Amino acid sequence: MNGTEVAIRGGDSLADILERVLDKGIVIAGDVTINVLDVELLTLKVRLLIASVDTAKELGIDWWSRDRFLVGES
Amino acid sequence: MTLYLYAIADAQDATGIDLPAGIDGTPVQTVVAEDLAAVTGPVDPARFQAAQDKPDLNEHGWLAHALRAHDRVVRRVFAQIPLVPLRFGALIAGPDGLAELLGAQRDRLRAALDVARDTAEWRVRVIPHQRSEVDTAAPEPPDGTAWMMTRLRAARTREVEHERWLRLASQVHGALSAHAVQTYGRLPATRDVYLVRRRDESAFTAAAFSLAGLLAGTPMKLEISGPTPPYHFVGGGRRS
Repeated sequence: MNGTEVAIRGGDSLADILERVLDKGIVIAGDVTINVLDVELLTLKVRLLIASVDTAKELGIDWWSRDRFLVGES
Repeated sequence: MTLYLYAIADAQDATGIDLPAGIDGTPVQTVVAEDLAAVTGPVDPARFQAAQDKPDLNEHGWLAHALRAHDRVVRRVFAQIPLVPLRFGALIAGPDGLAELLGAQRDRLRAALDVARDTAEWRVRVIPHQRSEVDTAAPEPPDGTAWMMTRLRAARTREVEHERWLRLASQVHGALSAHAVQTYGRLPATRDVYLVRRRDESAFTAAAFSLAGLLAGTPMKLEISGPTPPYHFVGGGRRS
């Protein structure tokens, strides 16, 4: 295909899981919840993990990863 | 007993489904309250407390295990019935608390189930996967002026590639949106998530493959992952 690639993945790399499970999904709130887990804080910390070189490669990020404008996050 | 909440489903769907082991290998069960079913299981809250106090970000640490277990349970159930996935970390103070929660948030959970019913999310990335020729094969410039001109040409090439990347991403987004109920992402549309009806998944993936022609000869690749539970859409999506 002359340099074109269409890759289908199962979406189960650790980076994919982190992005879905830590950052998305419905949040319950109320008195019945034991609020022992600061998910927002964990999300921030785990984003550092996502930004690590190995995980970035897994995501297909390479030289353009240093360009803040190019690396949009969904 | 502290319960961990993985997902919410419709009670009438939740009988006889296969449930894998949960976090720390604990059993997972469905607990029904009126017309909702919670996919839940007992957990040790001390492990979560430790994860909050000192997050272990090692890929083989407890947190990674727990995240994978959460995802594994949700995906296994999702493969069988529609569900609303919960964000990681929902701990409930026992069965009474769970019943109270399902009653108090019933309308909100039902609305989320309506979004999740018979849909899945697909993630699509338009990714540059080659360096430009200027970056990879530039000869050593003979002097300062030539060096500057080389740098300017390289910058211009990158700018052109960048514009082409965004243009292609926009075209991909336009073509795939036609097969989706909602999309989630931010502009530029290089990393979007699409909520797709299960019956439209074949058309969606076929459309993605047909876009190969659009990207032919460009240093771009299209990466698709899915189907996965509709995590991005049950809490209110953006840019639909």
